[in-house]
Amino acid sequence: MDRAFQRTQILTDHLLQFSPPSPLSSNACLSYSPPELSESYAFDVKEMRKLIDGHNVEERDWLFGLMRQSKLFNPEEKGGKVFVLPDYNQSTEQQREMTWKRIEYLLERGAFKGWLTEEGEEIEMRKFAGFEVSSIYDHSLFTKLGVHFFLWGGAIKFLGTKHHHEKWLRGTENYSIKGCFAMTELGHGSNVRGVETVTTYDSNTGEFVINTPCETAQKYWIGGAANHATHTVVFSQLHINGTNQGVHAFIVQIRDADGNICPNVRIADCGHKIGLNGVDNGRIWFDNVRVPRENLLNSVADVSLDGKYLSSIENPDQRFAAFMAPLTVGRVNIACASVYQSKVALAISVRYALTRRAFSLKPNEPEVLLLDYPSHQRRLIPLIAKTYAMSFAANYLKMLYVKRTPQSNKIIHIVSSSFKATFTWTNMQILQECREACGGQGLKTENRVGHLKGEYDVQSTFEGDNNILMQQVSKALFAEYMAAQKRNKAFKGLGLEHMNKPCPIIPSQLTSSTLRSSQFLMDALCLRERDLLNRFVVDVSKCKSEGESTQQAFLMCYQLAEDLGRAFSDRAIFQTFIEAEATLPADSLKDILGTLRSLYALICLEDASYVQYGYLSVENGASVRREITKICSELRPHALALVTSFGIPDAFLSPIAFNWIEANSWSSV
Amino acid sequence: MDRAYQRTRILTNHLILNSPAQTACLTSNECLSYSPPELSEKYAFDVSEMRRLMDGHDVEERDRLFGLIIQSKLFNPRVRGGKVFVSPDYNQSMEQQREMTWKRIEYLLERGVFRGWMTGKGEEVEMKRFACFEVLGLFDHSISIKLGVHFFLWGGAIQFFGTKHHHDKWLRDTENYLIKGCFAMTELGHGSNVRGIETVTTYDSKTGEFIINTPCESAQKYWIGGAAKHATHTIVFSQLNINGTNEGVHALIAQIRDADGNVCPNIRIADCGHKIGLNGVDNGRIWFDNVRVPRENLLNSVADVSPDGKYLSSIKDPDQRFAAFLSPLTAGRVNIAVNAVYQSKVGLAIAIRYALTRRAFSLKANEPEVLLLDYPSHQRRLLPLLAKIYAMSFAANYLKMLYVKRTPQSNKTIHVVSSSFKATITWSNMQILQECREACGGQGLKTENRVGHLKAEHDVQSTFEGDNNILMQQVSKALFAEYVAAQKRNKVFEGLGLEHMNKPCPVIPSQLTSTTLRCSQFQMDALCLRERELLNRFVADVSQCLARGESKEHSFNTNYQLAEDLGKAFSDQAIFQTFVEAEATLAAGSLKDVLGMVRSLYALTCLEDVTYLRYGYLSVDNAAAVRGELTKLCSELRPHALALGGVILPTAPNPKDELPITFSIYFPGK
Repeated sequence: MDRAFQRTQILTDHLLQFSPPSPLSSNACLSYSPPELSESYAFDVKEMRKLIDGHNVEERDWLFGLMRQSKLFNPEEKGGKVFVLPDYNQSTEQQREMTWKRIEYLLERGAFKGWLTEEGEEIEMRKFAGFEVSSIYDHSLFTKLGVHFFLWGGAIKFLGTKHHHEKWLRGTENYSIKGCFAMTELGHGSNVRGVETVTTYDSNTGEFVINTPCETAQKYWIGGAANHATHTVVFSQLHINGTNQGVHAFIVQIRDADGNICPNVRIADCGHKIGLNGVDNGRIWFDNVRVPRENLLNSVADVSLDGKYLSSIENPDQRFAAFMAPLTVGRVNIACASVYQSKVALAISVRYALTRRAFSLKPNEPEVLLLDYPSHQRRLIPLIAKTYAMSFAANYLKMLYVKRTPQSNKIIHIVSSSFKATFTWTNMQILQECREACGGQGLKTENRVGHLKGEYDVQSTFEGDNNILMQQVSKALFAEYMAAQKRNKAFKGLGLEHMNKPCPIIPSQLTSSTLRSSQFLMDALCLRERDLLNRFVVDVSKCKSEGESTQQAFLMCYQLAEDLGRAFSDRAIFQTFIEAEATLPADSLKDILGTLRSLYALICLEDASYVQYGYLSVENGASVRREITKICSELRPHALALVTSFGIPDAFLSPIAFNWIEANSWSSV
Repeated sequence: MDRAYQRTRILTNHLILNSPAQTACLTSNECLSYSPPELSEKYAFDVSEMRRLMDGHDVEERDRLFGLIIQSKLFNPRVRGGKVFVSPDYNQSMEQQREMTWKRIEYLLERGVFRGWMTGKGEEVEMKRFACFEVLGLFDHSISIKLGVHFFLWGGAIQFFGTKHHHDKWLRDTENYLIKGCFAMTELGHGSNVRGIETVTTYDSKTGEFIINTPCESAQKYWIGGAAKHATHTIVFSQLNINGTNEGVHALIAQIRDADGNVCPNIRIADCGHKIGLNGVDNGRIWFDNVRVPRENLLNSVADVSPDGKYLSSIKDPDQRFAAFLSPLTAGRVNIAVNAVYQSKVGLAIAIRYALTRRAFSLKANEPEVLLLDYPSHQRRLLPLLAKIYAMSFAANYLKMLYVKRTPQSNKTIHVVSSSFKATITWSNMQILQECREACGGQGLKTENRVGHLKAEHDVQSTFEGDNNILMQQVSKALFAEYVAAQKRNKVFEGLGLEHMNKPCPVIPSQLTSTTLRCSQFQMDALCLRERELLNRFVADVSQCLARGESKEHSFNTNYQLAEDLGKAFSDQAIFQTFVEAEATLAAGSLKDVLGMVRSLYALTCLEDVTYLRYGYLSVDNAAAVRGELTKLCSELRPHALALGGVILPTAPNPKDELPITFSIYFPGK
């Protein structure tokens, strides 16, 4: 009432007291014009969304709908639209409570039905879609679910045997138990083989005895441990009769059904973090905790009743690798979710750049839209191309995973490592650029772009530190090379078949049509991968011939290893883009995708490595840059359509993506 | 008591119940223990001397202020691993954080920290003020910004735009916080383009008052630090309309709250809400509904309105008049740039100390795991950043001196250099923090370990007080203008470090030896060569556009890539210059030797930039030589990492300010 009165009064003031409007006429007030009014769609955005989401589109929309309907997802009206987003001004404790309530709500609506009790490609793809949607709402929700279903649930599935599945999977799916995953310790993260937790077997009672022998052995970062989890998988050295059999996994109850911490278990909080404060990361100490013999997850190895160690895998390295298998799915999930964060940020910043103006070129002209500045196009449009490329690569990765066979394990490991590292790093770059491109508005939590950075920074560290994952990629490529050489056989797999062909040649003059030819682009990407692999093998071999160990040789050649890892990733991602493009009939959608594909590849070719190693001459490097600028201006009219095709519902974007003047008006205070 | 009991019990369990198996297991797998890096690393030079050189001034003042902070419970001291750390509780709500920021300011006020900040004059007080901001910025960005708005923006506006009667009326009260100032420039619809703001002020000659109005929603003042809760007064930037003529942007003083904190009539205020950082600052929005202020409230150093309503200005050209109104932002920009360097210092000191105590992977079975900083790749990640920080420190000291010794003639130089350094240093800071966060692994994500948290706190630096991209465009435009002016008058280049343009173009040897690569003359030549070439190209390309009939603005917009590369080339060269000058002041000795290596590392890091290959300034072979030398320098500097990283903060004289992961990687259970 007061406010209404105030408004009328101001209006009256304006009309009566302040009548000479001459000063204002020279300076007409800004008004918001929806980008849809000025921009048109040259292709079917729904079709495009289907293509890049790749699967379970209806399922995704159903889940978006569930979240939008519930007060638990904190809907707020801004500028005539409703947005859902957690209240990040809440304390860690409150955020954790809300995350848990949201999970309960989704559970009751059947969102997790079949996630652990059903088998097959279809349910696995549905689960990935569910995770992607949950990540768009909140990273804490996504991670809390991921720990329970993929890490705890996955460990039971992959490392356990039939009796574990029967005992635990249904209870997990119903959340009658809440699982966590105690692998990382204070002293050992990436180097899992170095964990210091120790388990022995007591044949008198038929129990395992788990111990935290020192402070660095405390389990650390364990998601769910601080507040909610009732059970955990513990990774521990298994000592049988004085012999260390290496890292094994055990099930341990850490809380009773009422939430009381079990005897001989101590738990502490990891405290406030720069993001993910809705996840209760905790620390665990085990003081001679005794668990029944059946709690050893025994698909890889077992201990007999009388205390003999039995394993189907003799080689400890292979045994260890088998124990790491459940992490692969987590890695796939992280890679895929990160692409959606880039989509959210780009949709917001492109929409803002289509409605925000700054500076007039001449006096009395209207100010210029941000996206009409060539420099702004150059900042954002290549990121759109990257996001499309990553979408296709993510879909490929998911299919590779759900169609896995024992033979494809190595490929899945390498591709998931490479894509996880590349996507999550790229995601951080995209978020940073989008934040800056939104100016100050990018710093408001409600506008999401800036906030997502704090939330997703962890992605480059968890489930495998990115640098270490990329080193594994280069090492694997090295091994492929050596194996092919030794057996004098052709390269097969990992997309390395191009190594069997003659080395591609870059024309000395690059025309626009060459620069947009997918064959040329593929050649250029293969050329770099091939040459860097050759160089890497030469340099590592040289180190070894000088007497260095293989490990030492890899460490010395880290720069080539990094460049090679990136060359592999770029080429592998590009391959998935080409394959997706090939499935389409000729039409406007395919045309646009072709342009995006060229842009993506040219951005890869702009990388310093191309001039550093001399794959592109100075002139050719300049041609690449010019073509990028040209494509950016060609894609400018499609910018809105391209981000609309990301299929993120309005409620999951933010006020600056829509009428930000109205959203900030006094009437909405 | 409970805990003591629990510990004893566990110990007993270990000793009695489970003894045979346990000992056997543990001996093969000895537990990790923390060894302070000071035990294994030694200092090859005097670290307190180095700190003095880097801090540059007011070292005792800084330490006094560190001491004040550490003493008070208000700064949230916490014991971790036997050490006390001070850092705000960022798990508090925005409202609580704002309250705490304000209490900390009151505490510092009572201790006399701000004495003379507004009423004192001269270089000495200005340098001391910079030093205090740097120290407070190390504790928390919010407190530094909250003070910066009050003293530099509000106070600076009074000082620079106001005349004697404003100074007499406002400065002492500002210094004592009897009034709390804010600075209402940015609007919802206009940030970088200040000339486009929509707030309108008219003059009523009957009452001798100005009338300030917010004519539409996009004209609401936005992001105004202090406005949401605490500020009593504000500077309002507004179009001034006198008798139907818009005289452009002017600044006026308006009261927005009374002494009891009630919002004044005809003022409306709303909150900017939760942000990704700086939640201890109460950013707000303001609407003015025919707010009347006395004629004297116009800050009239540049222009005035007579009692009968005539517009009077000493500066005829509206462009120059507008520029004069932006000058207080320069001090803010200097302050932001120098503060950013200290954030990088915190990030890197933590990351280096952690890398000297954290191990991962053994090279061979049963060998101890390798220290992170003994990995060549980890050295390559962190040590070039160390060199950058040293370079930025010297540049920051140069910038502060340039500012405090300002004359009307040096205004242009200050504007260009402060723009360039603010953009370059804040961007570098974000890169450094990101790299340090990742280098600390998961520990970098804990708020108490600061590294990761600082990113969100300081991200705003690339936007406020001038968007970095726009500042860098201004640098290139200024260089363009210098070039055109020199050409037109057929004169030599003078100022902005462009004198090298008068000399013949340097030649890069076709084969670069290690000695050449470490020679400061070669390094300077290489940096000048790039700047010179890019400036020539930029002028040529812009002129070509102009010849085709494009407008000047449009020509600049089209050549944005060259403009960006040129801006970077200028900054790198200017920063390097300050490094060389700082080095030259030193007597020969171990400190100078190490610093020389750091200088080479900085220069080679610049030379590694892709522009050197892209424009053909370095051949592929020479670029490979640069990279090779970089790796070599990193391993040579590895033994000095602690000394170089440790002196960044006053840890040597006063280790209390250190942070959890740097000293002790294990914390006793709760």
